[in-house]
Amino acid sequence: MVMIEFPYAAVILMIVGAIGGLLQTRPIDKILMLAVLGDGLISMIAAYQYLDVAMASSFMTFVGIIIIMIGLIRTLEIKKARGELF
Amino acid sequence: MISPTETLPWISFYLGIALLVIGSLGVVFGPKASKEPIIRLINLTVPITGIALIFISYNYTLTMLTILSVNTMFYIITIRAIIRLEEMEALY
Repeated sequence: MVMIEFPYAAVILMIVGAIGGLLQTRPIDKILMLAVLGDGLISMIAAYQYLDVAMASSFMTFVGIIIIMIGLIRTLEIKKARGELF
Repeated sequence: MISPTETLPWISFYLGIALLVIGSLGVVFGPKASKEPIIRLINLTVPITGIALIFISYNYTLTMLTILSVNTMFYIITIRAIIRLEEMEALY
C-alpha cells in the first residue's frame, strides 16, 4: 500500500484550491474552491503541530467567507433592481 | 516521516512563494476580474494564503494570526466601499 506523507497531501490540496479558485468565474464556485485552499492551510499548520494556531486561523477564514457572501448577495440585489442581471 | 524542523519549512516556503506569484497574476489578469470588483477581492485570498505560509515557515505564528485578522477587517471595509460604489453607479 502506497502512503503519501501528510504535508504532501496538504500541498496538493493547496495547489488544486488556488488554481481552481482563480480560474472559476462564478463567485459561489470561487468561494468553494478557496475553502479547499483554506483547508490546505489548516492542515499545513497542523503538520507543524501548532494546533491552537490552526483553530484560531480557521475561525478567522470562516468570518471572512461570511462577510464576502453578505457583500456578494447585496451586490447581486442592487444589480437585479437595476435590471443588469442576465 | 517529514520532520517539522528541517524539511517542512522548505516545502512551506517554496509553496508560499508559488502561491504568491500565481495569486498576484490571478488578481491582475484573472477571468472577469476587471468587470466585477468582488471577483478581484475573492482572488486576493490566494496571495494572502501564500504570505501566511511564508510566515508559518519561519515559525512566526503571531504574525500569521495578525495578518489573517487584518485581512478580515480589510474585507469588511472594502465590501462596504464596493456596495456604496455600486449604489452610486460609479464603478464603471
